[in-house]
Amino acid sequence: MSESKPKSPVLKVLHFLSKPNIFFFTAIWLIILLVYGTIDQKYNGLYLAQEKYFSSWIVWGIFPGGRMAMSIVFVNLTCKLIFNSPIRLNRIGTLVTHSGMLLLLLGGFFTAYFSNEGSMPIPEGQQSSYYQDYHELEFAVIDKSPADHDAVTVFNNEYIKEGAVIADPDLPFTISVETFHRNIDIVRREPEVTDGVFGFAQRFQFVPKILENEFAQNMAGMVLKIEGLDEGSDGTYMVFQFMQIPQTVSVDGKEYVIELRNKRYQLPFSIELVDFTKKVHPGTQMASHYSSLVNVITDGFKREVLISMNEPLRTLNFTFYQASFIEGVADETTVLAVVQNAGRNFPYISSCIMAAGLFLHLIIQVPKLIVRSKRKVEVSPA
Amino acid sequence: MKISNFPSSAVVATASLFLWSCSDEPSVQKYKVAKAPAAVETSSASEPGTVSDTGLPFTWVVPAGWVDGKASSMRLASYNVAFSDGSVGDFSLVQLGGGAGGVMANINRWRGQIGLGDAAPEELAENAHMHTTGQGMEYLHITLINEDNPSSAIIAGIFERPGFTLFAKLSASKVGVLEAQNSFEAFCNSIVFKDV
Repeated sequence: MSESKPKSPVLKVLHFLSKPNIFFFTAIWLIILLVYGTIDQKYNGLYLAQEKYFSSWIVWGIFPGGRMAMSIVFVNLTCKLIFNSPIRLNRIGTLVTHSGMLLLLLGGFFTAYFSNEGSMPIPEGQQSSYYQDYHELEFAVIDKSPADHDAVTVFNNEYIKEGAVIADPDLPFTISVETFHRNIDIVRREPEVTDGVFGFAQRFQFVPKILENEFAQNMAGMVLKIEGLDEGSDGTYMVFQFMQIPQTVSVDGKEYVIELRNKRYQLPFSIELVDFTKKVHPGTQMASHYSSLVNVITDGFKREVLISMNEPLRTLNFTFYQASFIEGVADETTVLAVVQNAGRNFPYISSCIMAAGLFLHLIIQVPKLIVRSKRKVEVSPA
Repeated sequence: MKISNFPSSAVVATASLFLWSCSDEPSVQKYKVAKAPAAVETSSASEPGTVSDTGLPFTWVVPAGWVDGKASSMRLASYNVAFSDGSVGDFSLVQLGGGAGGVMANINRWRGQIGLGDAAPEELAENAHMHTTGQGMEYLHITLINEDNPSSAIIAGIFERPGFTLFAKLSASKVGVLEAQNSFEAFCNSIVFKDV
């Protein structure tokens, strides 16, 4: 029944980590986080609440965040399975259910670290080979000089903060981030500043704003100091999200585009929107159903697919959902929601395993229950 | 039987450390994006100041500074217009059959595109006026500006003809729309219908 006394310090720690009390108290803490996160979402939006309470390691300075709590649960259940779960025939069902639960948590880990999602707007008649993250940003430097392609160098979110230095051996200039704000307003600069200031920054400046609850509506902006450009061009530049005319810099006659944009995920294929169809409820302008007839283009070969509400396109590790559309007088643009999730099958597999474990446990317990009920009848005759 | 040997401990410890190690690090990614093939030259491409005759039942003159924009199967003509605030306006010329849903329906759709609510006809009196082209044809000239969002504004002209409606629309910032009033009006006034 009980485990033998652990001998080494490591085993002592691991046996301690296998105690059921750890799971009990961690589950209570998760409920507390859930309540606070749900309330906070009303005031600060879903994305920020999720980042603060559920995707964090530490919350409120010293307390475990959602990610740490789930990690503790995972370690606790793993240690319990290995060190505190005797393997006996009558416990097979429990062990299988326990293993299914661990697999579910492992799937959550894969989803948290290896999945991403974003949007993909495609105007009718055009094609796209990337989708954009809803929240995460990237800084791109694009060399358009090659005749047949654009050479893109992308710096991730970790470079988009004050004091960061954006540099690469293949780029002839260095960028220092002087200012960064996640949400800005653009105001005209009066008078214009031309001394050491170039491009858009000569006529405009930005002021920080409080973050929008709908996080995707925030417009980020950066003030940059760039060195290594053509003579007389080193100085201060400004970039912000959704800039209509990207800023350019030049070195030795070669032009580079610099962009602050939503993080892009390149697809191994392109999607071309052939036709977007919208049906409305009779007598109203409210959409009842919309669908996108697309071509999935891989190495020049086209495959026609219809993406509609409740019928997504699944290909490779990607799923494309019909999310919304943008209607113009002249043409329409479909907006697809794209999800890449390496752990998307874990919930299904683990649910089946847990169900099988519970069923096994029930089957094993049935003879015992029958014997018990017979004994009760014998002890208490009618 | 219990498993209590060192390899199991190592697996558990390693798994725990792995969870901790999955944190964001600065990273640089490089890739190539093939350039789109050059847009097919259409007969609508024309030099500013010259009459653009594309075989349609009407012609027009492209104002100076308007550059051929992105082609589309629905657009008869498409131009980009640059403004002093650094923004670029998108001009489209579209022909739709019949009444195309009605003038008010289209105006309210445009209002929705720039974040304004629907308006009744009498509310448009300040911003919608009948103008007359050089040919003597009347068209409705509308300017829509969202003061709460100066980056969104529309200036449009609607020509109602027997059997079709012609929409000339420039989407730009507020600054752009105000700067483009003269050139937009020049474009609309230059439209000549061949059947008249």
